[in-house]
Amino acid sequence: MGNRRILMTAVLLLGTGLPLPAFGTGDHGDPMKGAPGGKVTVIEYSDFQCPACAAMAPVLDRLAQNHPRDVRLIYKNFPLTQIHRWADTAARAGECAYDQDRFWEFHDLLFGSQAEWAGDPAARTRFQDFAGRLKMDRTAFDRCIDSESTRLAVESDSGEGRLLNIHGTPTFFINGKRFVGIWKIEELEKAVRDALSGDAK
Amino acid sequence: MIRWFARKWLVVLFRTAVGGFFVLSGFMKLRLPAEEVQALIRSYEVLPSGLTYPAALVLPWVELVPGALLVLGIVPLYSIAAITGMMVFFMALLISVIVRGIPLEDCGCLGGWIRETPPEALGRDVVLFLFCLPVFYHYWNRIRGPGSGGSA
Repeated sequence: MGNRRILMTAVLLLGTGLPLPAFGTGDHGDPMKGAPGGKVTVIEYSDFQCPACAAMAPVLDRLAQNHPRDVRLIYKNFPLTQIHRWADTAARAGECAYDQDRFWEFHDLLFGSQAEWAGDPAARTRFQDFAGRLKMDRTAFDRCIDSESTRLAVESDSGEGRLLNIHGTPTFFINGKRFVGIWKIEELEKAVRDALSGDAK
Repeated sequence: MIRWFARKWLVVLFRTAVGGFFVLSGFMKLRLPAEEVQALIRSYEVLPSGLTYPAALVLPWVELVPGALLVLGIVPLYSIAAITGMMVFFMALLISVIVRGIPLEDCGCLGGWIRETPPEALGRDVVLFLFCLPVFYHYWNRIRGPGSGGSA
């Protein structure tokens, strides 16, 4: 699965426009939202405990909403475990929410309440509560967080990120063009316009 | 008191520490994609957006070159003058970040290799700045000629 993810990322970053596997519809691949066949692909490497990622989450969401036929957003984990105590657990929890088709709701809950759980010694319990609130199967969710396959899924994303020389979050690619940190929607709109006009040429 | 600290062996020590830090700082930024350095510059919210990418391309070299020249003792007066100026600028930036309450997890001074909060980085910069003073004094007096000051 790891090799498949790397291959898919490479294809997306090259912006070849080749037909892609169906993201967000099964137990593999990465969470995706927006236009499935969109001409502009935004791949975000993010950490649920990173404040800048929380700031960028609604911006990227709005970007996808503003271009419902052109932009698709793909989420990948890049937990900064050296500085964020709960980053890895949160990333695993996100994978488990994805397994139960609740990723984006869980994503919004985690980022929306980041300030509350980031310093909480019992953050994992909060993640379990979020799962319950989203009507996920809590037993499966708990088992999933500790599973080896979930650890590998997160590690696979992080490994890709390291191959792409990513050091900080959020790092996102708009049709291969790299952006790091916090950006305004107007700046990203320009990048999307550039990507679309580049595609038209 | 500065004359006491401007002894030759101390000057070499301070020169190596300050220059070495700038070499390390520049090198650690050079290994990053320019966009990462750009993000670091953007996080300080002082430059117009359009200038942040060119600044990201230049900044690592602006640190690396004077740092290397200082360590090697090549044009030491000019390199220590440049580095002292940069120290003042960086300290002012860090103070402004603290005063404006910008929540930086890492000052980015060492390209994320070692993470420092702005207050930690400011403390380190103050120490390095104090190291710069006797080095500048020493080489300034050497240019002005023997007997004009310094003890080397």
